[in-house]
Amino acid sequence: MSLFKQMALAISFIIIVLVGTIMTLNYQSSKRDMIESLYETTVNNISSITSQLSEAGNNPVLITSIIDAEFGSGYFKKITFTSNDASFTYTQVDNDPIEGVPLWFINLADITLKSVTSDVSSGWAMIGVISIDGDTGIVYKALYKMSTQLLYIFILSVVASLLILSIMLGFILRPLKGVQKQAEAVARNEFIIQEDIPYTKEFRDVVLGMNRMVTKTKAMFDKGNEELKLQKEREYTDDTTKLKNRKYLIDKLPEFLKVDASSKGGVSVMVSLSGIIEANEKIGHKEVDMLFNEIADIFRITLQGYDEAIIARINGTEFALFVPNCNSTSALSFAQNISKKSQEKIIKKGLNSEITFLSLGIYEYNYQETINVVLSQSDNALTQAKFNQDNIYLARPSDITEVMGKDAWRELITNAIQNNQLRFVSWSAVDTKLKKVAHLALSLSIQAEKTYYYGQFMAPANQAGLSNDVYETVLTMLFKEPETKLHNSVCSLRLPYEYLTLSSTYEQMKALFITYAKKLPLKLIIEMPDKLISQNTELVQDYKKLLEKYNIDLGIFEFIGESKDYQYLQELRPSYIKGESSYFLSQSDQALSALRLITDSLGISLIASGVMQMQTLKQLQDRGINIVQGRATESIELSS
Amino acid sequence: MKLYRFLLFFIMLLDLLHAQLIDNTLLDKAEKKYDRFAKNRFIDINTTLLQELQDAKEIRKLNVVNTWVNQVRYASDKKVYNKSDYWATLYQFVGKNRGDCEDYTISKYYILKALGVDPHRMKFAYVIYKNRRGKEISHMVLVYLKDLNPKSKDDILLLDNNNRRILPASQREDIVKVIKMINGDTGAKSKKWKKLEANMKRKLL
Repeated sequence: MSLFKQMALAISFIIIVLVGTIMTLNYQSSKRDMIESLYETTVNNISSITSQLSEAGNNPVLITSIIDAEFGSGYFKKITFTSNDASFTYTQVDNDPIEGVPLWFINLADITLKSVTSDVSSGWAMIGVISIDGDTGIVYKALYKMSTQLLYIFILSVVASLLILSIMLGFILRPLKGVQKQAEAVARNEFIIQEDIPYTKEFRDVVLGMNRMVTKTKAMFDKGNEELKLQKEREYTDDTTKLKNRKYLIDKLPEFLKVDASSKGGVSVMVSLSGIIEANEKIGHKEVDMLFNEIADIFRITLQGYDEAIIARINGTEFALFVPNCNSTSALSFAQNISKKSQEKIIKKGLNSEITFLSLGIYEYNYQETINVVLSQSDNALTQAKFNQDNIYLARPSDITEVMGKDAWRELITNAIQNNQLRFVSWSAVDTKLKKVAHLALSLSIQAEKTYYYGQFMAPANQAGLSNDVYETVLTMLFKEPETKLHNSVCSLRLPYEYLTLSSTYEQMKALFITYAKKLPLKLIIEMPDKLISQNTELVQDYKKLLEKYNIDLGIFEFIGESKDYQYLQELRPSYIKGESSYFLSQSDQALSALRLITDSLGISLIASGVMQMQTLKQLQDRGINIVQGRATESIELSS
Repeated sequence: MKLYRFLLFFIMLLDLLHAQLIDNTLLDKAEKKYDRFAKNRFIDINTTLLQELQDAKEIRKLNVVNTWVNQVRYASDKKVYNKSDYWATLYQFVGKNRGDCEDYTISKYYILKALGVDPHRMKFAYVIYKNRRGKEISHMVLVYLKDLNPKSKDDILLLDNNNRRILPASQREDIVKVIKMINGDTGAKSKKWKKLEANMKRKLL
């Protein structure tokens, strides 16, 4: 309950008790006064009637008539006259119910008034006794009227008091609202400085303290951001040519060599420049470096049509050109072009092209191959190229024997989508420090006649153009009929770049969230690739807003920190960043420390995926990466 | 503005209808509660008294009303209402076609008031009446003051149900004592008056 509500409740209670007490006292006092007044009036009346009766002597008719006249012209409940010898008694009484006053009020008020009695004498002789009951109906009516008015006043005063209270509290607590907003922003890892410094001392101290804290955290983030940018520049860039280096290539290759890679394959070209020692001797280091730069430009210009191409200098004389979605014919064509143009540059530098020349070993890779296979096959192709006449060699991969044909896969996957055969398989992401499951990373399987796992069917699904249908089905499945085993757990679902950038995906997700998100019996984290998130486009921001609206967290996967600026992490504030274990292990201490500075200031966890061995897990722990995902987690004994 | 005027007119019209001593609703109710003779008695008040006497002289109004009301049969409150003392409305009195001295007085007062007789001239008088056998009885009559400040008993006319003729107080030796004279609804209203007034307003039959 908010402070405002608590204060409003407490003060409302006090007001109600106070006003209620005043009303009760007022009612009781009025009741007492009215009864007293009625008693006094009755005493006056009895005095007047006694005087008249004295003149009547012992005449019963006269006595009756006087009593009738007085009863008819005044306010009495009862008048009784009893003669001295009790031979004559006359009573006038009004037993009619009191009009305009409800029975419950009559029972509640319970007014009792003593009868007023007086002796009646005529001359020296006592002729009888008269007894009068005052009309309590007047008191009931007056009290009822007063009570209803008091009730209205009570309601009005309570409403008015609460209204004034609400305005006053709103005014007094307005600075606190600012403090609350800032606190909420801090909890969301947003860096908001409150410009309006409250007048109230206590609030002012809190705001100034929070502003200082936010400024410090922001400075920490900025420092980390700058440091990481610098480290990445150093770690991933070749100083001479400004091309990427071997480390970048190794960190980046997993994105292309995986079962659900968007590209089915391409070419990996190893380029070697021979005769560098001779060239250095002949034209000097400086000119040779310039030659490297010119050759690097040739690479850039030649491959500018390939968006995802990686051009990396892997050592002093060798380069790697990794070009997804490129076939061997195009590769041969651009290799010849590179070779020719480089040769021209070499000759232009006054070097002997028989001694100083480029060799290009082309290997046509397949996305299912490992990094080691692709690099060693590319090296083999380069070795062959060095002995070829035109110094270009094309190597093709050994045929991959498919268990099932393409059409059979297509049919199997289509059936799985149509007949609800897709099932969730979960892998634990474990916090090794707390020995607890951080979340369950959801994967898929097809339960047909036989079980097919994600690694088996996703590549054929990609080839058949069905991967987006699979993800659409899976999302719908998760929201409409989440499996019981997932209830009350924290689950992450990884969605690929291609699916997220489809024009229809955002609207589909939105429609699903609107209908089902509030009833979702699990805490969901949608994982998006760093490749998409780091762009921080309008689409990414829309996704973030959509997820935030429905209390779904955002996670980043395939993080290698290649962004030019890490501001997007501050703006999008993911719950965690997932990277390959090799990425975290290959980072320099400075780079990792800068990354930690950023993530710590924003409350982002770092998660290493693909941790297969305990040794790797220990190495990660040594580097402060405590949440891991992969086969090694099976050996961790979890605390209950 | 037009709406305001219309509403005002509507309220005044309702008030006028409400103020009518005898209306059609009452006639229907009277027939339903009692019989068609009761209804006819009310129609008769409307035609013979209220309409025909509208422009008559005050003394004629007094005489005709007194005579008309005195046609109703006498019966004690105990017999009619099972109460020792009850002030009936004009409607109960005429509807039941019976009542005691107070009921005659009340009915005469309201009919004369409806005929435009100044209510300040009419008083309810508690008196002691001596009958032919010499027995004194507590009684009530309607008093009409010819002069608002009567100089003598001749200026005080008594509308009585025992003596059918309207006579000045000076000629009513059978009224041996006047206990009290009270105003109708023009002076301080007693509890009984307030009840009667409320019952008259809702035309209690």
